[in-house]
Amino acid sequence: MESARLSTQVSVYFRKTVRIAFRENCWKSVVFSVIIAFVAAAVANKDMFILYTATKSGLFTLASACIWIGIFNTIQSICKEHEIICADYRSGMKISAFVISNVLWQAIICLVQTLIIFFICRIFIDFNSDGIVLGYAPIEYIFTMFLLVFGSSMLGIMISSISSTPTTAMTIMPFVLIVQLILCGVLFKLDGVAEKISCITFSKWGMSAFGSIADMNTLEECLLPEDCYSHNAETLLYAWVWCIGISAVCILASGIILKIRNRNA
Amino acid sequence: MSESKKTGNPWDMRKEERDFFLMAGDILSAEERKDVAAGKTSIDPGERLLRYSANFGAGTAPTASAEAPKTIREPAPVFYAPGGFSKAGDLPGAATAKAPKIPDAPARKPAAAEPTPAGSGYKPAAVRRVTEPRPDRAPAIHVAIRKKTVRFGKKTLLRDVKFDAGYGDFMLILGGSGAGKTTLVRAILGESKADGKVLLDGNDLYSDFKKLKYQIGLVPQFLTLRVNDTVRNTVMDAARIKLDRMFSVDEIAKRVDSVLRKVGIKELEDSLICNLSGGQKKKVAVAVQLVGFQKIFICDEPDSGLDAASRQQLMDILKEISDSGKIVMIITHYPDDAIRLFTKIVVIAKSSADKAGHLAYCGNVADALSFFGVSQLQAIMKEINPRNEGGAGRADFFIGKYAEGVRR
Repeated sequence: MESARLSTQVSVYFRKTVRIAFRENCWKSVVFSVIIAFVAAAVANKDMFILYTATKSGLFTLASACIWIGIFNTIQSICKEHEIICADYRSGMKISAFVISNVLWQAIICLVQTLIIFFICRIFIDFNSDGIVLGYAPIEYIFTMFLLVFGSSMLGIMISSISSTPTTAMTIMPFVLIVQLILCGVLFKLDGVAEKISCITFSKWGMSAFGSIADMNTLEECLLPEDCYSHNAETLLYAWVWCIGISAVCILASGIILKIRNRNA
Repeated sequence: MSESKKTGNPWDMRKEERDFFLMAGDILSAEERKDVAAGKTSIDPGERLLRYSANFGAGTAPTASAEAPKTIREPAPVFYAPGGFSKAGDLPGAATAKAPKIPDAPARKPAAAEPTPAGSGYKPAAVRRVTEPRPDRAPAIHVAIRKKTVRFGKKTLLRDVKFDAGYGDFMLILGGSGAGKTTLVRAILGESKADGKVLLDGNDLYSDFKKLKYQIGLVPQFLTLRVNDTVRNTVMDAARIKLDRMFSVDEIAKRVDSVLRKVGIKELEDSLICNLSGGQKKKVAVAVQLVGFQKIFICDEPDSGLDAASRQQLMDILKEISDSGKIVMIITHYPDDAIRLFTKIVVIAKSSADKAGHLAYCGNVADALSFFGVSQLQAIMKEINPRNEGGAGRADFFIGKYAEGVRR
């Protein structure tokens, strides 16, 4: 007996994921993002997009909020279902179908959360309007935020796949968040190994993309312009590609980890 | 979509599909059979295709009789039950309808390790449907484990466990805590491979694991269901994953309806699993496995946490599944509740010499009671359990006694 095709399985598991998410009150994660966005936007300085330091702090807060929301979406999603996944796998489920269906659902959730974060921030912050690649800066901000929230969600899925229990996952999460914040290059200047490791953090590339869109190097009080904030297409696309790449690696790693966990099932 | 979907005729299926399909005699409930026999209802071709295998055994479904392969039912065997022997037809879950016997149908060979003492008044064969064409009576599953070790071979969990089972067997796996029952189940499932062989219809499970693993269904001790989904969606999703390449969505939906009815949870189909009782959840777990045409069901303590009535009901359902031509293996700590239902019993006991689980008995229930000199299955556990666990500590004696019996 052959189990169903990948497309059928993705469809079955996607609908199952959506059904269960609504029954488990997925609106809570949306409310959660509303609260975080309000807090982040409210503390943003009035001089954001005028002064370099105010802009850098504001965008750092925004990037951190996106990463926090993203990881929180998925940190417990897989680890609480390991035994169910094992049973389903034994019955013919393809791990790839399960992972893809989760990724698709997260993409939708993350998009909704991104729009919420952006429009709440817009109440408090006047974003600049001249974009680099997409012509209109707010769209580029939204896309960058989406990449950060979605990428962090995928990081959460990966951690959840590794963790055997929700408790383990929740223990790992703060460490991951701290690493993301420290290695983004805003709080400390990074050199050597730390700089290399920072290349695999969403926070670094998120800040680079935000800084590039905001044209931070030309803002007042910018004493030392940084290449990663250059207002050009190359810098922005480079940051986006890194975010997409890290997300893809996280998705792939989740699939491989789940496959290994269930290799004997 | 295969040709069979268009014609509704199973004989238009590819051979392997058909063979597989024929193993799945589990669909019609007793009430439905009566209705069909009385002409109160008919089954459309698509549904008949799905229910086909259930009809051919009972010989009571006129709508399917033209297409059904010849079927025989062995004469009602005598079962041991507390307080005396009873006929299979008197048992709950045992179908009473008779089909014409084909004289030249080969009889099932008793298992090699199945002692059948003369004059005991007990016939080991259970109610068993025999379909044509059928393999040459080779055991449907043959388990021969020389050794199962962990920690890089340092610790032996199982040693010299050998038994087989045929389609229709309702088998009890009995043993004390830590004797190796779950290890045995994991070895049979292929989850944790042992040094030995597990043959399914003559095919080695370990060497062709990816293909054969779907033929064994597991109802685990702890439920692996998403509690925020409805019963129907849970079973339907499982069916779509398992059957999508063989049947259309409509046919799968009918199959799901039949299975829900069969297991007795049709009226709960829109309920969330989290709102069900323990027994109902177990039934959902059984339905999830049953929907996929598995040949072998392994139930790891399916009755744990259930009250006596729910336990009995669940056992009757599982017995019906085995009667429909499947092998059901059960680990339970309440074996006496269903003593009259089991057709075979495997006892695993922990040897004090190597601390590994050994086969202490394999055979029918009546002989098992005689072998251990007890009147209840529960008492077997007391005999073989170590003294520090409240037992009589006679595991080594029975392991040796059984091994000696097999050698003779």
